Amino acid sequence: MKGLLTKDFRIILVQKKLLILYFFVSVMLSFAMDSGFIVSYFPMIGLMLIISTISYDNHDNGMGFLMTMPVRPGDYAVAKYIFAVIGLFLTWAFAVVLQFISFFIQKTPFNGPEVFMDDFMILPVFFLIISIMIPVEFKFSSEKSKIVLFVLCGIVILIMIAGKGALGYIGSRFGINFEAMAAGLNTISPITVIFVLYAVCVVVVSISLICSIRIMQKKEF
Amino acid sequence: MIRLNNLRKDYKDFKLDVSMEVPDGRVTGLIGKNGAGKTTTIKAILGLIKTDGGEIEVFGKNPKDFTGEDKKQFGVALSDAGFPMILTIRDVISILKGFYEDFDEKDFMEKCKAQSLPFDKAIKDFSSGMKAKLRVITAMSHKASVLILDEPTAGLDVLARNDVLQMIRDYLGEDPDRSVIISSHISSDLEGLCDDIYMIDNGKIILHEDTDVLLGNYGLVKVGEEEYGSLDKKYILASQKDSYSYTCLTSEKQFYVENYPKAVVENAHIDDIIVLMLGGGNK
Repeated sequence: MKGLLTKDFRIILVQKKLLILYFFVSVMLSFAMDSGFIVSYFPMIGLMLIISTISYDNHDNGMGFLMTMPVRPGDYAVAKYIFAVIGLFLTWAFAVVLQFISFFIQKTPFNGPEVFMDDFMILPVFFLIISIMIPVEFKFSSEKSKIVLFVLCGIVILIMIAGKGALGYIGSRFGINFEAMAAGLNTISPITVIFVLYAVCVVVVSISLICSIRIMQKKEF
Repeated sequence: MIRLNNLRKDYKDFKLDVSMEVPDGRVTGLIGKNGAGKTTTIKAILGLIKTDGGEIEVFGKNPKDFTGEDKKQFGVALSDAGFPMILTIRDVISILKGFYEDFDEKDFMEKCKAQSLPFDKAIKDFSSGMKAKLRVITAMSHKASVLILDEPTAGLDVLARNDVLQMIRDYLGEDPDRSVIISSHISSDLEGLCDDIYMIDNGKIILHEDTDVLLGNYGLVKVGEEEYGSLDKKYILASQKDSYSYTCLTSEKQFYVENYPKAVVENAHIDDIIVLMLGGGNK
């Protein structure tokens, strides 16, 4: 496990020129744009780098070689999730620090708890994205996984459009005011929302991990 | 001890069905054409593929039940596979330290230096020879009791091949209980290294013999067309018709030396055996 985490860390470190570039872009963006943007931008870069480690592992039959090391296929999946969770958290934390530095330097008035709440709601979104991307990357080759993710995005958009249409139809047919219900959600305390969001996140990541372990166990190298 | 008993693996266009035994402390060669089944056999031993029948036992266990601890007994070099190519040897050192408590950093670095491998250059920028040497040095880095080397010398020039083979000999010299399974399609690599050789073709073992016996008893019998008709073929394994004569592979060359004084009997090298056994020679 330690070897796998070291490998992933080293792969990221090798791309230090890219990291430095992203760092400067992030700093500039944090000053030039809405400060909330950086908190979404930097973890997105982290997510891409984390996924790139799977592509590097797969390249040139590398996965077969990794499986000759003292790890089982399931260990590989677990190590990748640990790396992903740590990586996303660190990039998010870095972005939050950068955001607050920009507030101080630019002397922008801000409501600390409110900004924190907004920032805390962003992180689970990345955990949910990675919960889909990792098993897809494990199951399909790097090229195929891009197609699969593209198709999945399309399906999600279609479901959203169809859902919106269905809710409109149900609302008018049965006289239910969904907009008023949605407005009612705003009365729920942000802490409750965050708690629910993180609980859902833990469940989804756990299911994703179990799927990934099974994919790796069934795989031939 | 590694034991394969009618181990089967069925692909759409290829079927493997092999039986072999590798006792502890032996150097066993697996030789055959490209696509003969060498890599599939090695992958089965390592548990990298699922098998479709037969038995496989590696140190008393089925490879599918290997734990991480079990895998530490192996040092593996797969052909054209290794750590991500963007990494450097310094990165590889950190990774191997994370995988193996027995990783000998000093020895690893000395071996890399002896082979003039650069520590800070990305592996993708290495020559084929350098990559092959790194794969073998990596396999030897944690004092594994079994080395499994799949085509470690493929695509290398004669000097690089010699270096790789010498590293393997040195590794064996450090501890006589160490075993090696090495696959190659270059026979001369195996002649000077292996205790016994399995010849594989089209997914089946077609010959298994001690290297000493192969080089000592096997021979080529060259006879004219007339003599060929009257030749006792009980020790002839394969024969091939040339322009005006026949070349026959025998496992008892002395028999033909003593009984056929007109026949030309020569020592057979493994390449000759491969050509006659795998090249379509018929008895």
